[in-house]
Amino acid sequence: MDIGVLLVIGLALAFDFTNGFHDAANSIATVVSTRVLSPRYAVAWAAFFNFAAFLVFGTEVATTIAKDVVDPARHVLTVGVVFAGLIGAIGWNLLTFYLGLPTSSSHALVGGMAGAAVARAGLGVLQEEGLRKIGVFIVLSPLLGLALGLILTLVIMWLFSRSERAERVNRGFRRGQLVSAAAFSLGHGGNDAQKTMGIILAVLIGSGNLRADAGVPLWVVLAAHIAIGLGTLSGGWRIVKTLGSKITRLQPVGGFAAESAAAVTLFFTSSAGIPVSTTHTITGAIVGVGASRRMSAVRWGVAGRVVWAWVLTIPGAFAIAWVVEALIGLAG
Amino acid sequence: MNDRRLWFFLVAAMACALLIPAAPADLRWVPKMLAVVYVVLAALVALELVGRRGEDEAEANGGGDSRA
Repeated sequence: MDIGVLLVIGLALAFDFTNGFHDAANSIATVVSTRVLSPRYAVAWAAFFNFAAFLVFGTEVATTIAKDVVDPARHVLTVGVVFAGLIGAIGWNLLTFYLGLPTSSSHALVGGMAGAAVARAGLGVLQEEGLRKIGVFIVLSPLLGLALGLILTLVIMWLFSRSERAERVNRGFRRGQLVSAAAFSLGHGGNDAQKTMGIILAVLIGSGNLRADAGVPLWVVLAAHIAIGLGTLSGGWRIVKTLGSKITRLQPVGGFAAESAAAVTLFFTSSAGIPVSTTHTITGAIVGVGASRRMSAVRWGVAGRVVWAWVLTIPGAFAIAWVVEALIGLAG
Repeated sequence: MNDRRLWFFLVAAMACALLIPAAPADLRWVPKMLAVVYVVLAALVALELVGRRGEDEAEANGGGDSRA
């Protein structure tokens, strides 16, 4: 394995680490704000289930990233192209982090890979069917999370509306949040770590280290899950320091419903091989919980920015990766 | 009908319906199912609004009678 391949694998794992770091708040916000777990234990809980996800999920999402975005039969995904794709995704994430746009690392990765491959070999290398699946679920996954969050909240309200022991019910959902937070962290680890596996698989195939029909090697699966788990652990420590005022106060029942709805959405999309944004999915589920009361409970400014992120992310990362690959081509 | 949920659910249902032909054939059931779910949610909100309006009117009439 040459140094270029190792460099790209290292960059992909760094991308995975930052994904865990960035998304740690999604996994632990509700359990911490409802004081079910202390921040320290919540972070460890989320990181453990991020890692354990490799025992639950297959590698369908990784296969979609590696083989359904760019046609593997065209042998376009060389080390340079994957490197340019990763730089496009990371560059877009940094730019939007600066601008405060809640963009998805997953969509940036797809846009980056596509942009670099098109710069190298033209539009014909893109897999229309795979891109269509990813594009449709950019919109559908938050809407699925929203509908499930809303329906679950309504069912819970209906089941417990006549309960005279509100305190006992609340205590039950506080415990339930341990399970829902674990399930969401499993879904997050399952879907997001597989995107990194897909990148590494693509570069291993492109560099001739694996055959085009190869599956994801076990060491790649473990490395991707370790990277995202460590990222969550590190991101969580940062959050521990700044906690308190930044997290909105939530009722245990709402946290339970939102996490469960997002987890179900992530379990479904992961098993169907669809890379989705975990951030957008949990955002949709939280909006669903808020909508069970009234629409003014929803922070529409945040929802509007998510829509902008949908529209801009893939073209933005595509453009950066296209330029980087073109520069690599000129230098080569 | 000034509850924003009604319009939001209708727009969501329309977005899901528009995505049906674009979805891969084996996953087309997802936008179909979601479109139906959002239409049902919009209908429930509309029913709630109609019911609430009826209650408000009855209350207003009752209040007027008691004052008379």
